[in-house]
Amino acid sequence: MKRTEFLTRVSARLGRNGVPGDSPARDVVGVPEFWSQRELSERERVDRFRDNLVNLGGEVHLVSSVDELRDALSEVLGSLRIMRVGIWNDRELQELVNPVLESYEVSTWGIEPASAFVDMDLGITGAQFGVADTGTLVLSCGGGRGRSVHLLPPVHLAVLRASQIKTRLGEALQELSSHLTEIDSYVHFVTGPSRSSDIENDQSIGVHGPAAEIVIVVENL
Amino acid sequence: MTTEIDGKQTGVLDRSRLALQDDFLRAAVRFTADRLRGKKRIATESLGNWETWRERGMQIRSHTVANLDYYLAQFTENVEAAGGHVHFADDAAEAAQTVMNILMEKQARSVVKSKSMVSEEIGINHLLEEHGIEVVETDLGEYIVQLARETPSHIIIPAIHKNRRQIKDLFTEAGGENLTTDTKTLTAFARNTMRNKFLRADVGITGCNFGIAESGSVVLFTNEGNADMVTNLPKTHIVLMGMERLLPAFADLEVMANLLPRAATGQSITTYMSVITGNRRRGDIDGAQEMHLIVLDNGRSRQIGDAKMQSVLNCIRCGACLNVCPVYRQIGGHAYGSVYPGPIGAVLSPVLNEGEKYADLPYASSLCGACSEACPVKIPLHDLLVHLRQRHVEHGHTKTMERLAFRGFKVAFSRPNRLNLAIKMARLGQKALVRNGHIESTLGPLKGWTAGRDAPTVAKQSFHDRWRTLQSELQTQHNHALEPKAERGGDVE
Amino acid sequence: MESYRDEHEHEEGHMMKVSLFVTCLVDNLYPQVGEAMVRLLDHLGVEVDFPQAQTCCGQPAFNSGYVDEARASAKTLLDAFEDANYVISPSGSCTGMVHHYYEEMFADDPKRVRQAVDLADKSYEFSQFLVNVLGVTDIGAFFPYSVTYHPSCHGSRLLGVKDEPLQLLRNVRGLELIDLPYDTDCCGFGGTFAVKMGDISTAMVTEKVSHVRETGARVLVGVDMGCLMNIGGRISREGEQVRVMHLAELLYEGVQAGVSD
Repeated sequence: MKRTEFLTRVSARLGRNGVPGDSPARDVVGVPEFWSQRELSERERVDRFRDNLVNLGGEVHLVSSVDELRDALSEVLGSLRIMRVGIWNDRELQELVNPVLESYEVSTWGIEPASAFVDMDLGITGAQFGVADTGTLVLSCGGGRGRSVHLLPPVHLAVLRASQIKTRLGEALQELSSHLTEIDSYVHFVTGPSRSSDIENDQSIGVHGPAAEIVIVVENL
Repeated sequence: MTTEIDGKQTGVLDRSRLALQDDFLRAAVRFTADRLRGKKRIATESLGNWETWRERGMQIRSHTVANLDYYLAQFTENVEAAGGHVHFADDAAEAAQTVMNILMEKQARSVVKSKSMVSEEIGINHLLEEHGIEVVETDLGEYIVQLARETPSHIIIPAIHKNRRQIKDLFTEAGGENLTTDTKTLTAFARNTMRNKFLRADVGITGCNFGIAESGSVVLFTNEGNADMVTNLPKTHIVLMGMERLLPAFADLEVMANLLPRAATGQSITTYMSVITGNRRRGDIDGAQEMHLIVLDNGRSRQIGDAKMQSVLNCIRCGACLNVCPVYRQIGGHAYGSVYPGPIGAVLSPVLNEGEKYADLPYASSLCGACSEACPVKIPLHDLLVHLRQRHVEHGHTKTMERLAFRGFKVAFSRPNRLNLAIKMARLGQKALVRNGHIESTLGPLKGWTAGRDAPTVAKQSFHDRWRTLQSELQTQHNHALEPKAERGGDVE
Repeated sequence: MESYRDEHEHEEGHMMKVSLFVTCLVDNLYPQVGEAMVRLLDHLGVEVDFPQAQTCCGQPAFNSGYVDEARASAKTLLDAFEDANYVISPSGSCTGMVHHYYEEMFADDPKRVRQAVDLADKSYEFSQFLVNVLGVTDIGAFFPYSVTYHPSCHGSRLLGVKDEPLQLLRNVRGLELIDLPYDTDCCGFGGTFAVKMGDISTAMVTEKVSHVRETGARVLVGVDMGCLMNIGGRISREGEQVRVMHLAELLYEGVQAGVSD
């Protein structure tokens, strides 16, 4: 069988008869200690997340109540003259934002056909985590959390609790590692708007993915 | 990947001559390489402890390659457990045929691709076109290169050699109307063109930056978002992966996520890092229904067990060695005549493709070591280049004249008196060539040198010849110096 | 200024002894560089010995893939410097060769490996020896010209000689040190590369010379004659009026000028 033949060849080059049964001993795993041992307060994490994302052309709104969240959302939708909004089919997220969306044409993932999402002006999602070090959103997609909701529209807006913001990328990866059998088929780490520097190294925004990344961070929720 | 100019087989030097006459190409390469170097410097300095990070990167990659059989078995089992199909390919042709078989089975008419060096390595585009299947490169740079019917000239910036005017012309030819040379306008044309292709395509093909053994996940680092469209929108997703591109665990991915984007483009992280584990789950509405992973050997396993060369499999394809390479800077990517250009290409191309075709690439380096210093996983590239030259000599592939020259070197330099004699002869021999105290003649064995530079002459008296006189002169001074200070002439303060 | 010799003769009553590894290039093409080194070391109170049995570090053969040939030549160094305390060369590249490849090159021969490790331990490039062993950064030189410095790749990358030459240059009175743009980019020498890939090498050195020209400096200084031969050869071909000097030459000229001042 091809697989056996292929792997046996590698084993032979490594000087052994076949693939070892036990996992190899490791001296070094993952990042250096000075990196993993850093500890930031929630305030510092939120600030770092915001600073990093804003530096990359993202937009961050810090709010501290559900009312403020809705005001912020309302302002964003208004200022961008949004008409059609796509959203995850996620009860918690929907409860937070639905009152604002009443006056918009809304498509909910899994309710409206996927093809509808090609024409959305803005996609609203939650996020499993934020990463302070890089200004990254971690979107674990599956079921009602469709991949296309944040990918296809020109604007992506995510709602994130401050307490979900981790210091470093590794903490989010650790979550994947701890639940290996439950990993969604697609986990997307998104840092700022889509970009390219392929034309004379001149940066352009919004090549295939969204041209705008907006995050509303809710504190005390 | 052409190595022919006007139908003749050529070497890297011949191809370089063409590049060296192309002022735009050279200016473009220098400009972008400088930008990338500067950004990398800032990104690594702001992270801090870069050497410690590199050491980590090297340790993790070395461990993975030293246990590649185990991790490859674990990874592919997990891909299958997550619903993916795994194929193994010994060489480029087999990988390409595997892709074709999947496309035939799916009766695919159109394919969208995101940037993948392995797909270049197996030359898949050409094959698909022969079978009448539309294949579209969706990365902006790759799209430009595809429209120009060329190959990428850089691992990370495929169209580094093209200017905006040329790009505007290519896009106009591809149906763009009223285009300007403005980056925004050009990008918008590509975005709109691609949207339809993504939505219509039957199959998406991507590469794989890293496979995570513990989960069977394929990880892609991208900036534009095209890879996510390619992965998620068509019904079938094919992943092309070099067999060595693994990491044991997600914990190790954090190290690579810190190293790769910084080394490649000076970003602290790429815009998108996509972790794809198998095909879509029950209840998912989008995402590929079928996922195929093709694991490619194509000369890689031959490097395992070679104490020196094994480290070339540590490469994470960041392109940092290209950006600092003074040779790449002058000749660009196409002059290498292979899929992988620059220092990593000069090592990889001849080891992945044995024989004469790329045998001259290891000589296209001044061995300055800038590549080794830039490598985020500490591959000693300049040592590997020397190692390949040694293999070349051992296999008797070098030219007779060169072998004779070094035989002469051995004879002369193993005995000082023989060397002395040889130098005396050289001193006599050069007489006819010396003008104004140096050699300008562009004939003879040194013409590679003298075509562009004057050469020095052999000294009338070597240091060996001068030593006795110098020594006794200094001795006299010392004896003199030991006399009372007042009598010393020209004292040092 | 008190010289190293004054200080140490009083303290210890004996002179430090070093052996000169002149390198084949300096020996036969640029003997004046070796002479300048010897005179400077002597000026600093260091006794210099020159073992005649040395030929070449073997790098030209080694880098071309001819290991056996390289070994034959390297052996002359192992034997010539067997009894030396310090081995000082005017080239970071040749000393780098000894440091990085000798042990591996003689791996099959226990006696030679011992010699190789020993030689590497006591081998220094000239500026490295001055600054890190002798602790001298100001040798009392006077050199009233604008100077730019090209750091050679092997010296700086293989051997780690980065700041030493600059420390010495910064302390030369009257000298205006101008930064060389793209200083760490290779000049295109690379030994046989310069002949074998002549066109590429010429393109590289042409860019290097254009950067030298940008500085407006009257003197280009370096610590490796291979690179300086290359850059100097291009400067001469382009008819540029820039003087190319090894650091030892510059410092020795400066010391003489300092003396007559």
